[in-house]
Amino acid sequence: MNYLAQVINSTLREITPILLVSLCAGVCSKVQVFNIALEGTLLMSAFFAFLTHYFLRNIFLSVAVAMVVAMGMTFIMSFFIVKLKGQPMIVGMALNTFARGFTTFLLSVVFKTKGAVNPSDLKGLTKLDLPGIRRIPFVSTMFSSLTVIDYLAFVLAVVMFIIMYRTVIGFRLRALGINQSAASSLGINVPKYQILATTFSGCMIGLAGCLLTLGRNAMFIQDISGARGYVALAANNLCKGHPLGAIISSALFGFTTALAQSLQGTAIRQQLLQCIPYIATIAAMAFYNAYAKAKAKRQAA
Amino acid sequence: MNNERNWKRTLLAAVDTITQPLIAVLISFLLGAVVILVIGKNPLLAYGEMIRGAFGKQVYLMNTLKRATPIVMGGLAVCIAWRSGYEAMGGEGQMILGAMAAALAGYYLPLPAALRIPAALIAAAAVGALYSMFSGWLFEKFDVTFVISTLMLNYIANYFAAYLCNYPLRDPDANVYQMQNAQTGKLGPEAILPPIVKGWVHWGFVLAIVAVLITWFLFKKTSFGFKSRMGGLNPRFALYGGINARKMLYLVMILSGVMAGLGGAFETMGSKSRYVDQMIFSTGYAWTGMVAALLANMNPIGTLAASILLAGLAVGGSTMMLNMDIPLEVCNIIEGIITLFMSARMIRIVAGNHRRRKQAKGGSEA
Repeated sequence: MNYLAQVINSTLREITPILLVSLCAGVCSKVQVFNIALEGTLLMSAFFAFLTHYFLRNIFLSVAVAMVVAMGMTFIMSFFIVKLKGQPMIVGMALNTFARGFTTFLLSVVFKTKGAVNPSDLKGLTKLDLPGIRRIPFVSTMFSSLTVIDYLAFVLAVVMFIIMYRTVIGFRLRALGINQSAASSLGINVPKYQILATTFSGCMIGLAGCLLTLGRNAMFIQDISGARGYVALAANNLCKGHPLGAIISSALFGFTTALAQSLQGTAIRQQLLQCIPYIATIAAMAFYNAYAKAKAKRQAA
Repeated sequence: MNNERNWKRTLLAAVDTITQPLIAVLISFLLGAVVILVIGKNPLLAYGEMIRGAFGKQVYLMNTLKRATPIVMGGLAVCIAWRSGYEAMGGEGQMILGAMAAALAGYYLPLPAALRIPAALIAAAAVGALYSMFSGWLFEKFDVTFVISTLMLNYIANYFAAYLCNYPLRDPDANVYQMQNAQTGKLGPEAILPPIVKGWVHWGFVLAIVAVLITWFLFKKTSFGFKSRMGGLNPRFALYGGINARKMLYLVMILSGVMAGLGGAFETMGSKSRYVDQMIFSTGYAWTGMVAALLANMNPIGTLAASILLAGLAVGGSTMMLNMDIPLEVCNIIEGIITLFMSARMIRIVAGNHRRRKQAKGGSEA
């Protein structure tokens, strides 16, 4: 029973970075900016969150820096795609290559290593201890050592839903995504909206980056993002950019990752377990699309 | 008068094609210089060291060509798929499995010595093609976009290969305590691609040039390029013109997978003589190949040239790291910036794809 609570706990902690990134991906896909630079953005913000915390020992400042770095990366991405008409896939891959090189470069310059940095005296984000559930045995394990950002992720999903579906700005953003020329004929400055929307949504990747490096203990490992950016892209593809749907689809990926972790130390080798989340991603998309196709066929008939 | 205008137009076109790569390379090296300056090193010396380390001596040049071999093959895989309108990035996974297949076939298959090399190459090509076809199948049957399926398959391939060389197929002669990365058994001399002349690059490089010429021939001199492009851009129109888009999809995927798989095999059989854990993943051969294909605007011959340059960047970078204590990753930074500034030019090929595909979709719905 306690084991189950622990699996749920690690599922929750795996969900939140993916959820935050896929919320950003959702905004990007709604305004028709294909963002595959998520992975590199996540890596850069995770690294700078750690770097700031390491030198300044100020958790708020490091969260802020991570958000600014993420917004900067997302701005470059959307500027190259929207203004300079760069091909999205290539812009994204370029930024990912850059992020991988830049973080490893700084890692070896600053810390003289290319593996992991794990300073024992450095504390991570403050863990939120909810007073109401501390006594309840199962639930307290479930929600133990979650940070403010973990809770914030779910709140942000709701907030994003309200912004995108219940406000004028959200309506405009979705409108320009559906038909750019119609939107611009209504006086919406399409490139400006696209760049602003993607840039501001980028700050959510910054939060996800903080979770990676400061979520448990403060540490940085080379390539710590570990394809979470790509997985979030898939999660967003699955929920078609809907913020509340993103909770469900990222829960699927969070669960498979947690499952793979919890099976470690069993007869199945670690390397095979590490495949599970990626296989689940492909399988989920294939099943979902097959289901949607069948449904469309049934409706047509 | 007319002649002069033609001449001018040709010149302008030539300037147009070459300007953007030049600007991109210039900007990236300038920014790279800034990074090197920031850590307190002399960028001119560093770049000098880099060029010397890449092309300065025969040994260095051969190292560069050796490194270029899998990069060219990865680049060709991208050329073939992207020119046909399928933006697949599965080269890495196919290359990993190809390298693994070659290492296993060369080590375990009890064949006469003369057949070992062909058998290993065929195994690698077949495995690469199958893995590539799988993503094609996911696209065709379930509409799983190439971007996501191929990215995920890359990770799956890398972990799977890591499992194989860590556990069931680990080198039986290996000393467990001395190794950094797990590896499979060392290939015998009859399964290794020999150098062309002693002290030169291995035969894999020659085979890669042959592959470049074949790809060039396919796209320039046969109807394959046109057919595959039609199939990728507008399956319905292709059908109208008597082209089976489904068949073309699989054909393109097979061809692209064969290239990537062979790229892995060349690295195994020419350079490492075994599969070493992470040998394709950490070096990023497939990604560099993609960058090379981009720099060359998806032209196979240009891809060869760009691959050699990018390989030189990495090989020279390691000399720079040794002699000047500058991290090798400066090269990744430069590579990323080159790609970023090259991206805008890609409108011609890929944005055209998107526009046409969108029109085709709109047309079919109406």
